[in-house]
Amino acid sequence: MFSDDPQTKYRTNNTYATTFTAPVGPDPRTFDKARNEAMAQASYQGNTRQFDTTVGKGIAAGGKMQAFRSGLMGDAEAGKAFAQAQQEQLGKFSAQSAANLQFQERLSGERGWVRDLLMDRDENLTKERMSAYKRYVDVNLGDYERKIKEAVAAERRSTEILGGLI
Amino acid sequence: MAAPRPQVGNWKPYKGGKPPDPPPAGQGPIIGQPNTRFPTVGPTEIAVPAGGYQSVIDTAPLDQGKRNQITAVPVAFQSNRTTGGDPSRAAFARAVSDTSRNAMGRAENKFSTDLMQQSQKSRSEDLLSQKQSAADRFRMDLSKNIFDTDTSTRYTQGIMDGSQMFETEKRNEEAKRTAMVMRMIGGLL
Repeated sequence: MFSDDPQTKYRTNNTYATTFTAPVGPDPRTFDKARNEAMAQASYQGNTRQFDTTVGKGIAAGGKMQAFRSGLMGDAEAGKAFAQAQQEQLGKFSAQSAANLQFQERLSGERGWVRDLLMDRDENLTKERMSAYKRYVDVNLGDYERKIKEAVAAERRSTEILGGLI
Repeated sequence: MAAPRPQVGNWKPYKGGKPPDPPPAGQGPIIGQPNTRFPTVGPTEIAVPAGGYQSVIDTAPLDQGKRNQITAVPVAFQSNRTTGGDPSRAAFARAVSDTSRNAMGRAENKFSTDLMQQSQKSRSEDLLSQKQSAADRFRMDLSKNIFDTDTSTRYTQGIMDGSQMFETEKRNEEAKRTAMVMRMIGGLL
C-alpha cells in the first residue's frame, strides 16, 4: 500500500498515475534551420556564374559551351542541396515519428507496470480478506467443538453419577 | 431471552440401520455448461473492460501529405527558353531531381514500413499485457470465490459433524443409564 488515502485506494489517480508526459525528440527547429540552409545553398549554387571561367584561351572563355557546362554544374550542385534539404525533411519526420512511438511504448509500458502494481495490491488485499474469513470460520468452529465436547462430557458425567448412586 | 438459532444444515439423526449408499458422483462438471448438481462458483468469463481493450500505440503510416513533402525534391533548373542547349540542361536537372526523389521515396518507404512494423508489434504487446492483467484478475476473483465456498462448506459440515457427534454420544449415555436402571431393578426382583 502506498497510501492510506481512501480516495486512492481503488482507482488510478495521483498514486498510480503515469509519469511520462510527452514525446522527447530532437528540436524540430534544428531540422528546419538545416533545411533552410540547404535550400539557400541550392539557390546560391544554382547561380551558374560561379562556375563561369573568364580565363583561358580562345573561345572557351565566356563561350556558349562554357556557359552550358557551368549551367549543368550549377544545376547538379543545386540538385544535391535540394536533395539534402529533403533529407533533412525526412530526418525531421522520422525523428518525430520515432519519438512519438517511443513515447507511446513507454507510456504503455508504464501503464502495464501500474496495472501490475494494482494487481499486486488487490491480490494482497484479497488474501487478507480471505484470511479474515478463514479465521472467523476457524474460531467459530473451534468454539463450537469445545462446547460440543463439554456437552458430551456432561452426559457422561450424568451416567457416572447414576452409576454411583445405584 | 433470545430466540434459538436455526439448525445449521439439513441434518437429523439417522435411524434404521446402515443407510443406503449415496449415488455415485459420476463425472465432474464440464466448463462453460450450467450444471445444477455443481453450481458454478465465481465468474465464468474474463471481464473485458468497458469499451474493450484500448492501446495508446498508433499504427498509422506517415501522413500522405508528409510523405509528399519528403519526396518532393525540387528541380534545380526550369527551362523557359528554347535554345539548343536548354532542353539538355533541363533534362540533366530532371535526372538529378528524379534520382533524388526516388531515393527519398525509398528511404521514406523503408522508414514508414519499419515504423508500422514496430508500432504494430508494440500495440499487440500492449493489448496482450492488458489481457494478461485481466486474466490475472479473473484468476484472483475465481480463486477467492472457490476459497470462500470451500470455507463456508467446511464450516457448515463441521457444525453438522459436531451436532451428530453430540447426538450419538447423548444416545449412548442414555442407553447406558437405562441399562443401569434395568439391571438394578432386575437385582431387586
